[in-house]
Amino acid sequence: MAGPDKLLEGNLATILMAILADGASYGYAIVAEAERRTSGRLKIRQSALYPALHKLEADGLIEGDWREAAGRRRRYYKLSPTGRREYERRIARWREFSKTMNAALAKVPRLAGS
Amino acid sequence: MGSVDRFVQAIQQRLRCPVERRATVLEELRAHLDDRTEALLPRWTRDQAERRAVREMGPAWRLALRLSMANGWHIAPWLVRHVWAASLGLLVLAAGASPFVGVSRMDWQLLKVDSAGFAAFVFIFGYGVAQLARGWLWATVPLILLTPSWVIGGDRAPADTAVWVAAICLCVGAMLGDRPGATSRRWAGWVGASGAVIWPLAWSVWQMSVPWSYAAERAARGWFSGLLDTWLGYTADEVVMIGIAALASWALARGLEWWERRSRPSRATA
Repeated sequence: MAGPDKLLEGNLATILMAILADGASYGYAIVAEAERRTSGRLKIRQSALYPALHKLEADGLIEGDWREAAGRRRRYYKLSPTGRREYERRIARWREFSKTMNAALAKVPRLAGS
Repeated sequence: MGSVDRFVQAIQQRLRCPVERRATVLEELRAHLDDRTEALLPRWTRDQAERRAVREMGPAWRLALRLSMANGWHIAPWLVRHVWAASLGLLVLAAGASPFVGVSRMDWQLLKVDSAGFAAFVFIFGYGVAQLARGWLWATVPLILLTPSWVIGGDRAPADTAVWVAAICLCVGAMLGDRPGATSRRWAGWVGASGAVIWPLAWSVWQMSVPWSYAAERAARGWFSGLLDTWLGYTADEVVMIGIAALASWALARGLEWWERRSRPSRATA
């Protein structure tokens, strides 16, 4: 059964889109922002980050461009219009799923010793 | 050269994606590693920080594979392209070499299903060994082409089964060894190649210990000649053909490598 890490990994694209929905950002900052938002509970594996970003870009959901800041070139990503619509769809689906799961789990009695 | 340089270089070597994406991918990766190194610097020396930053990225082969696939690299067309190139290379090779080894002797045996042993040696020592230093899928060519010969061919030489097993050894060795980024790929390749030699040899020795076998009959004339006859079982011109195949396919492999290197853009700078 998938642990929390696997569940998060399966939703990595949505997490990245959520961060980019608040504004353009680059790889390293995205990792830091994910950690900040989850108080350190979500550590995006760096080997998974760029393949996921590139896949989103290839699918036309995000757009990347080079920018220079403090003498360093970084590739910033932002949601494309298609990506924003897709993100809103995903959020809606997730909220529905989450509501259903919460309702279902509310009926589960606590296991002894847990 | 620091850890970050080595890591980016390892990714560069293994990255398979459209040329126009390569520089972007590598530059972005380097920028990320530089950022991470900077973040670690207060607690570590630069060398330690670089090493930690690289370690956090995981194995280079895995990242290179994921990046390749995320950037439009698909295994199927690549496989088809390479198998076709290998097959074409073999045909050209056979056509070119036939005047030297005698067309009547060779008689396009490579294309016949009943010459599994000969085909096996040509492919193993030609494409298989030559490709140990390159893409592992090349090494599956002997297996792909040899399997129908082995299954269908009725008039098999005694060593054919052993040679077929040897081909598997070689392919597995090359596959294990040539994962993108595997540091031990040459060693694993050589293990596979050793298997290709050891298997037929072991088979021959075992055959000679069985009284009713073909090999035992030969061995009655002398152990050493029996061994050679069973193990090799080929005439001098066939051995020459195998050698030519090996050299030509090695040259083909190097040529392709050179062509691929030439078509890549120069290394990204950070």
